Amino acid sequence: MHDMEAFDSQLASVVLRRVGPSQPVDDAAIFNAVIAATRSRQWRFQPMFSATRFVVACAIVALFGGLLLTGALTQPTDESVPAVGASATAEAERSASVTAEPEPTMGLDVEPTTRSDLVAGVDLITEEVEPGVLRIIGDGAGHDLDERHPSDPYDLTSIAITPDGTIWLSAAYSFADDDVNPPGPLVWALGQPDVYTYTPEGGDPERLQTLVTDEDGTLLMVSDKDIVRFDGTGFVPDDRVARRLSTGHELWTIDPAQLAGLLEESLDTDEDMNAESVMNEPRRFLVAVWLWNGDAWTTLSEAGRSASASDGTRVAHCWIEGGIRCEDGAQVSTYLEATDIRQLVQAPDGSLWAIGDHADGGAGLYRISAEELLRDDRAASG
Amino acid sequence: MEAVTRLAEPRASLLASAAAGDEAAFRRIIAENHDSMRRVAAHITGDLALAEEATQAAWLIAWKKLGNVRDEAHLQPWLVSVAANEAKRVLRKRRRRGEVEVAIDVTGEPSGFDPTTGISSMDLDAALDRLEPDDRALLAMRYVAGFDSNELAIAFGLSPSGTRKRLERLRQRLREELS
Repeated sequence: MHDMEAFDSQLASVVLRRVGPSQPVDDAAIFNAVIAATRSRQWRFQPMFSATRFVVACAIVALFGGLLLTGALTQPTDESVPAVGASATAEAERSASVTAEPEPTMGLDVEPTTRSDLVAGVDLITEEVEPGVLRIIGDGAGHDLDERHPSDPYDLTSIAITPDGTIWLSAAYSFADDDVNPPGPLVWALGQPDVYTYTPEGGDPERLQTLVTDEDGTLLMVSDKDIVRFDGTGFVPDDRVARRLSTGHELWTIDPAQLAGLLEESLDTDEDMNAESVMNEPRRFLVAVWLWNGDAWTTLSEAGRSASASDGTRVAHCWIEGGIRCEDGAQVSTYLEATDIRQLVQAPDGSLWAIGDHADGGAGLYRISAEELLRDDRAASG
Repeated sequence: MEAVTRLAEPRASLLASAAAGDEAAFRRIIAENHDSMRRVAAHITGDLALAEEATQAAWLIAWKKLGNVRDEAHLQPWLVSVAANEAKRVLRKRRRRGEVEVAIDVTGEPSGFDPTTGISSMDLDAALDRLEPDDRALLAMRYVAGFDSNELAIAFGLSPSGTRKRLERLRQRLREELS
């Protein structure tokens, strides 16, 4: 203990040296800079808008003028006349195939698109970040995954999918700045405006660890102290000692003494959990572990690092490694390479959902279709 | 007399006044918190100029969003966490541009060997450079801003016990790495 105190003291000393001494604060200058920055954004916009408006108007006039002149001077040829029954869209696509520059986006649908075929009854706003891989931007129910609250977007911590295909997400906030997102760990379903938290009687909101579903399809929230279940209106305590999950694993509530023995025996995990911290915890310490076919224990987060996608006949096994790596026997592919992925989960439609980071700072909620994961001509990589 | 009245002004009132656009109240909040925010940002970015940039950006956010802080006890942790988030953002931006992070050495003091721990401060310095920005933020909030576990919990959105455990694990990891 003495050694740790000495280390703590040395650590404090080094950290303080690294940041240097306190300096006087010119609060007036800082305030003026804030006000100037605020005004400068407003100032920049107005004149620019006027100038842009003028340029755009000139461009439109010139464009229409050019088209009128071209139309008046050029006789249509047979080839350019659409066949009877041919749609304007098809014609436009044909013209584009001749004149358009090569697609800089490699054919990705980079513009946000509303998709109503991914989750029943929900219009999801998506962007295609890789062929077959969509990032979810919003759900039309007040959950804009790119919006900042106040300076960071949703920090997605867990995902679970109930048998009806509802996508449940959890996020952690230090603070929130609107009524849709209360502070603290919160849980919501894509496409549903309600958000849920769980606060034990007389306690603080729990630190959320993960969301899982049991074999009956009930959503469970696991914190470092409790397991609670969603009863349709909110989270309530779940006092069962063991639960069989939808994946076939068992989730147990284990007391410290029992866990310490297990840890010494066969806990197969790289999680930062150790017998000492459990035994030193004065209150009842709940640690949720999976019973893996009776052979090995592993943590929930470790188990969330792999999942399978299936179309009923074929199966692709996927796991987190430099993004998401998937193998279906013949091929190995990598998706979202270099993206920090935190959890994978399979949906009833065979697709794979993942949470992680996003390069532009937004929250990363991704969906890879089963068709993509199981198609024969997948480009093998890695 | 007016000064005495202002000093006796309840903190919640200061927060409310600043949120309503009162320049004097906001400047007082700046005066009380800027140094902690800048130094925490410096520990995350490892660069004093980036730390200043992050802190200035944090004040712009604070000016716009101060009204969302409902509890005065949350004000300082909130401000420092906004500065920390901005520091991480500017760091990510710089890394995307391919610029190499440079370790800071503000004072240039020689890094000595501590006979009690058996660890060289230079080695500890290097270990801190290798930490993730989130871990550097945690240490800076603890040792530089002086946050207790409740304030750390507010800043990180965790429970106080969860924050204590996270800090303890980080210390333990560093200790074992350097032993």
